[in-house]
Amino acid sequence: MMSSLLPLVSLTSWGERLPDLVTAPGFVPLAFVIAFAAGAAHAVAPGHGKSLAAAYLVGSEGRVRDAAWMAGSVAAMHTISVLVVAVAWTFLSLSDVLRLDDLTAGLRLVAGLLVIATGLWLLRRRLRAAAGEGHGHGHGHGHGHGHGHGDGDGDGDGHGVRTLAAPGAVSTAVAVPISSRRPGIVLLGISGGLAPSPAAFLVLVSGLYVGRAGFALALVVAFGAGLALVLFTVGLLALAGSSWLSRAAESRRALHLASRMAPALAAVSLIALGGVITALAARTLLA
Amino acid sequence: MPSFVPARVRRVLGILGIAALCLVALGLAAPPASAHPFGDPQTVELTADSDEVRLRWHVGMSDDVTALALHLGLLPQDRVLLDGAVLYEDGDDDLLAASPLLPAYLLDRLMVTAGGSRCPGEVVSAGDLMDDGVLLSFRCPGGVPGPTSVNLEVRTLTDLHPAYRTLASGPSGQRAVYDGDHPEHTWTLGGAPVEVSSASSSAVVQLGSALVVLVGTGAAGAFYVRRRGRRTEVSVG
Repeated sequence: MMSSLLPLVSLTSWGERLPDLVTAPGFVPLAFVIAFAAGAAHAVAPGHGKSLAAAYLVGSEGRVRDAAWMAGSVAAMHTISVLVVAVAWTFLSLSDVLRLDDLTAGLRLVAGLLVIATGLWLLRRRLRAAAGEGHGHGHGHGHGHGHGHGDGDGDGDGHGVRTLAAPGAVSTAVAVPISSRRPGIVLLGISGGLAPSPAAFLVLVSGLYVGRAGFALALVVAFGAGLALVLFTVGLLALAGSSWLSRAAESRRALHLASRMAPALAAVSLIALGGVITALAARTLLA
Repeated sequence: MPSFVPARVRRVLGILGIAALCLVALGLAAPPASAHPFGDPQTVELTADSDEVRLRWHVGMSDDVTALALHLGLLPQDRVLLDGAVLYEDGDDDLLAASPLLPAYLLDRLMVTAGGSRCPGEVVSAGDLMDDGVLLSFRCPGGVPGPTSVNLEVRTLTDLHPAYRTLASGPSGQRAVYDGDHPEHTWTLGGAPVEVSSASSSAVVQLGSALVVLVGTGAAGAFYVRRRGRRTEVSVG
């Protein structure tokens, strides 16, 4: 009885016991709950793009929908990554060609480069926006309702302006021309979900070995949903913080400066984080 | 933040949001690359030729080589980091492969029995641990033509940590997963009929079905959201 309750009381044991759910599922709905919790616990651990998600959403003055897109794309990419690596490892003798240690380092190298690219793109956009502000174009001040232009899928023709911090929020931030934030979101999503988590990989490989691949994949999806929930929550908190900073800045000069600097700092942070990820992955590959 | 959220809640969320922004800085201190080591799991491949059963054992990822060498007392305990983790260093695999403690460990924790009798084993080769693994040979009593099935017990590495698993494959596409609670499995050998469906075709059907359900659900969700969005636009307009 105690051992059966163990997965419910220890965050780390959730991930470790996850493959047990495939070989001995027990009560199936509970298996999905544990997989979901394991994904959330995995996302709470250092890394996994939380800082990147927060930085990007602040840097791009994103909205709640962007946070959802970001979290969803990480979960989708993680599921695809686990599926491809597990099937290749099981049926195509992937380990004869490439050790998973090296594959993971390679994937992290790609992820780091994607983050740097996203950071540079964001910084370039901020600098352009700042230049536009200097010339007296494209800046707004007021209530952002985000109406009438969908969710930012446009091609950035600059015909409209809006504040993007959050719907309904009063913002003093520089208005950003309506342009697509999706490329950055998708790039970060790919980056965050590129390297499969060991627990999810082992779940699917175990499923392939014991003939429960479909069930195992469903557990991996539940794991990804848990991961996405944490990233989405972090994104919401970052947006809330950014919005609060903007509103508080109306009456405090220091906060006003911080509010104006936050997006650019976030972009620089993205570049720095991507650089660290890339450097660590390169060191592993060259070792 | 939606305007229907109470001001007090928004204030709290705002403060928490500032804390979330600090994750940017924390992320620099705890980069993702070091968050979770990920590598090949431990594997055993079983083949049989008349009365000889051969096992090829792969330890898994490189850090597991170091963990096993530490466990066998071949490396000093100061190789264990403060957080309990161990990291592979060049030469650890050679040290472990050359030690007589490794064959003793493997022959103690990889046990083959046929008809209730233990099959004596020996380590045939343990040169390149990382790439080739260790090859072990077991001779089962009874001679030719050999047993139609054997029981393989795998307890390697689970004495280091119960979370270790072994993914095992055998003749005719048979597969099994060993762990601390399930250290035994019976394998069918030779020309005896094997009661397993084709693992790859079964996996394709199952994964395909799961993906169809997943994509279908996602498409339905996206369609619903878009339709709802259009309705909202129309009502606002």
